Amino acid sequence: MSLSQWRIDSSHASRAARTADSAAYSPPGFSNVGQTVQHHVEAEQSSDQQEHLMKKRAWDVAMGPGKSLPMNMFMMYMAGRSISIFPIMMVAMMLWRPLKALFSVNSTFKPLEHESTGSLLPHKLVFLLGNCGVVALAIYKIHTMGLLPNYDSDWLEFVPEARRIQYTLVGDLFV
Amino acid sequence: MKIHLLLAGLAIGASALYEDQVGKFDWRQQYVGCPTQVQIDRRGKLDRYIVSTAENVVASLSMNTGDIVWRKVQEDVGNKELKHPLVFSGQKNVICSLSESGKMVRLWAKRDGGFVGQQLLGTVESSHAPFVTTTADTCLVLSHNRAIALSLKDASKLWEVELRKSDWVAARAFDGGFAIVGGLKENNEVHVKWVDTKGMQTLNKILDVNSFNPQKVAFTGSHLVGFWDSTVYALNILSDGPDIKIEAKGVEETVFETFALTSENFVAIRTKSRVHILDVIKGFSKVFSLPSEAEAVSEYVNKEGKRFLASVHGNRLSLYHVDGDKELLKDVVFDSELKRAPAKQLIIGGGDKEWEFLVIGADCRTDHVVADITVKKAALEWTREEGLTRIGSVELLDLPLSESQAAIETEFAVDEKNILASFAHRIFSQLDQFKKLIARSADMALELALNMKQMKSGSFSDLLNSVRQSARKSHSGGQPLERDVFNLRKLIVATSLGGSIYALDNQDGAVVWRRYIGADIQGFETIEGKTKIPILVQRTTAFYNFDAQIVVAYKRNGIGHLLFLNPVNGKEVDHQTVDNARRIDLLPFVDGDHLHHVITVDRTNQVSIYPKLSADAIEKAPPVHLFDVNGVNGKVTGYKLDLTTNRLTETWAHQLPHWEDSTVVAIAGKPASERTHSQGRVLADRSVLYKYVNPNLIAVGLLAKSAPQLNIHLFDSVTGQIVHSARLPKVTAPVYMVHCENWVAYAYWTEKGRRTEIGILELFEGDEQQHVETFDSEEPLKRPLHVEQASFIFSQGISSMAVTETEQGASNRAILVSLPFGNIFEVNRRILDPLRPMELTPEMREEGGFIPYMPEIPIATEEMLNYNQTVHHVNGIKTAPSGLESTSLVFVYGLDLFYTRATPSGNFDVLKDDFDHILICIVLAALFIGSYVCRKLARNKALQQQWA
Repeated sequence: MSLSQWRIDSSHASRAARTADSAAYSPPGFSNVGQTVQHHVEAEQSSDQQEHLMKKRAWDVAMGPGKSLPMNMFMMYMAGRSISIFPIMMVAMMLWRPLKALFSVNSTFKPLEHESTGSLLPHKLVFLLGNCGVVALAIYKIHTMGLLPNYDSDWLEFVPEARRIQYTLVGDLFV
Repeated sequence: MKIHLLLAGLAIGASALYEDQVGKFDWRQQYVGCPTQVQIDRRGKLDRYIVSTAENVVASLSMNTGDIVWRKVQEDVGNKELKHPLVFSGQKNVICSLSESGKMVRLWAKRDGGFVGQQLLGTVESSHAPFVTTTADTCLVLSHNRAIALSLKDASKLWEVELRKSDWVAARAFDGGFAIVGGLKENNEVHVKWVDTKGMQTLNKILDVNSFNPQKVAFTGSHLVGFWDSTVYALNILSDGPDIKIEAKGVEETVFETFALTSENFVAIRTKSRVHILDVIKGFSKVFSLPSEAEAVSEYVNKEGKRFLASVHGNRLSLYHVDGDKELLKDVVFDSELKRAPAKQLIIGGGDKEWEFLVIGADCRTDHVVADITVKKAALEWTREEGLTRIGSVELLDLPLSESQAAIETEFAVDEKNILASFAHRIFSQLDQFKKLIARSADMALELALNMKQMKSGSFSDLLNSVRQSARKSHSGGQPLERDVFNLRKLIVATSLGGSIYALDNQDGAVVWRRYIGADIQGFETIEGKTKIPILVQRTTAFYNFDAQIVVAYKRNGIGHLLFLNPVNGKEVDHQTVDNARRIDLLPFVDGDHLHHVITVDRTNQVSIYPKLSADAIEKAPPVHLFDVNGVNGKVTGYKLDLTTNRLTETWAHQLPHWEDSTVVAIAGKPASERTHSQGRVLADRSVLYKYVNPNLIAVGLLAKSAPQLNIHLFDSVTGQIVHSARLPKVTAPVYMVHCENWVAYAYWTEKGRRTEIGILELFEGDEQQHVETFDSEEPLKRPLHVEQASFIFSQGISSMAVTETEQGASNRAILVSLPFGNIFEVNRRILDPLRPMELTPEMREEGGFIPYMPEIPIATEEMLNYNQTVHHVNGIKTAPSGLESTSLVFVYGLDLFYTRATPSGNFDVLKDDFDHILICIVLAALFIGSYVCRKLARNKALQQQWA
């Protein structure tokens, strides 16, 4: 089923709803009549529009994560730098969601695959980049919270004791 | 800021003890010191011994148990011995004691030790041994060539009389006042003075004698008895003025000692083989001669006036009736131990059937013996190990692996590739363990049965004896000496300057074994002026197939001795003598049998190694360096040890500045076993300041006298390079120094602030680590060291200082400080930190863990390691790691012994003491059972619903 069968047109819908003789009860916005009639009439025009819509939608999906970045930034700003359960939960969710999304790029774009939309590769790339951006933001947040072991001090306890080359006798000196 | 401080204080102080933990990890043993004078006090319900000791203590001991009834600890004389021991004299209610070699006289109530009064006699020590005697209301003190009479009511001075210069004095009271006698060796004179009760001199006479030896005189009754020129002399100091004369009698044998007896006008002389008793009045007629050799002799007069004489030889005791020449006890064994120190003093408590004796050994061991003269048996009722008050050195040793632990070790030591064979091995070792278990339980049952049988058959006195014996033997509930899970149980091996080696169990302080080396031994004098009998641990108990080994070094007649021992049972392994040893140490590497060899360096830099090193070990040995501080000219020299030729080659030398008017207060290196877990310090901006952990670093503290100042020099002992020097002006003694990891902490008295301060000096390499994998002293420092320094006010005095030690060195360190009023205080390194910020920035607040600088070290009573168990005259603090990283074992020694555990970072690796195991188990069990029951119920309900 393609999107072209769905159209909410108030004039048509009201008319169709009033006609009791319709063969089937169609949900609002679904028009058999329109399809049969208009398909032929607006065939070329609708396929153009559908293609346009498909592309738009694909771009919407692809841009989704990128668009959520400012909102996420604001949220993270509001969460503060203190290490307590809520900020940590928020940051974890923020990290986890895009990571999950990164592993399901193909399945996200599956419903949008159509010959009319053409190659979805740029979309996927943008989607990927957006998610990466969110991950980066989350990691930055973790960094500002001081949870990222990126300082020398974080690895200090793993520095082994230096082995001594020479030995000195340090016992008491007697008179 | 105040709140922050408070919070920080709370966080640190969280290691304080709860009330129910009192005595759980710690114990204290109170001692009185080596007894020099003993009196028996039988007034009142409880019979007591009143003792005065070499440690400046007067005490009263219960005769029944040996416990301290009261103890009066007087001025701490520090490491030095008193020139003259404390003397006392008492009438029925009050004791008059003369402490600090005659500087101070104090009066004490006899029953409860209550303080009556005191009088300062002088600020310097008396040149002669002081003497004190009492009458019913007066105490006469002879000290500083003066005779001073004090009222026994309030210690007020009644009168004072100058005496002639003398090196021996004595006095006695008589009807008309006091008769005072003194003698001077250099003038060969004896002088007698009579003073009446008002302080008026009624007689003053000086007698010339041929020679006078203050070591061989005794004062008995009214007679001064002395031995010189192979003649025994007697002088009746109460005979009338012009008739005063010296009676003399030649003796055939050389007299080694003359000593007074309880009954007047009798004197005992010790010749080469025997002890004779002479009647002074009857022309030195021999009243009684001891039939056998004796180490200590004592006389006793009972209520009827009968005189008895007792003697001790080894572990045997004899008692004679003097007048009837009858022996009541003859060589009765009172102690099963054969290698006892010879007795130095014997006190007879008397009795009718059961006689009481107090035997004081040359090693200060004090034994109370009860002897039954009808059945002729003696038993040791209680023992006080007073030798432990003069500890020369301490080591805490791991206990050997338990049988099962060793079995596990052997099991994994076998390297078998065949699965079947190793399975068989496992089965066999399990069977072996099972067999041992059965054998052990059978043994226990047998022992129990035997005991029961003995109980039935033996007489009551046997039973009493066996109970007494077993009470002495039983310690730590009869647990075997085995390592426990967390390696918290250790063996404390201590050497006593009194001439014994002791091993104590750290669970309750019971003596596991003791070994008498000889009262004539001396310790080694260190350059800092301390006397030590060093203990070196050659092999720990970590190797189940080798016995542990320690070496104890001591001097006898100026010749050094090395005694090799097995620390678990005290058995001698080997013995060596060394001449002129300036240094006794362990080589830092082991030979094939896991043994650290002992190296001695003498005055001519000759090196000896015991036992000899194998060629293989010499080949593999790492470079070993030594340094030496010349006590005469202040030259510091570095040497490299050549093991093939046993020679020292000089590598560097320099002169300590301001040596001429300085004294060395501390030379502190770092033990090879010390671990530093963290290689740096994290700063507020999360960058790292790397520590300069130089294992070859030596800290020398020099105290200049003319312009009082403390100089601290830190130098690398391999290259001789002075790493850092610090000068603290206007600083005087006492100075204590601790050197650990990359820091040096030092406590001193500042003249400027007139207070005690603790300073700390910490060395850092900077923000880049130069010595990452290996530390080579020869490698020059790329950048100058970053030195941080701070000092803090410590509002109390300090008498000893040490630092905690843990297994991995990951826990915080804490500095343990003993305070003169008897507490052990723990100063956390977080407080004593030169990097404490002056002001907390928001970043620091966010990072947490920063305590802003405050000039004072807060002294909180919760941080007193020994809460209310005060310990007096602390000589040293020994710390040792345990198997738990959080826990450091602390042993404090001095007049009292105290042992506890310190957890400077809190008890992070064990469950809380009050962790409720039972509740958790019950809750878990209830949950499991509940869930099972619920499942069953739910199933039933679902089934019923389906049918319905």
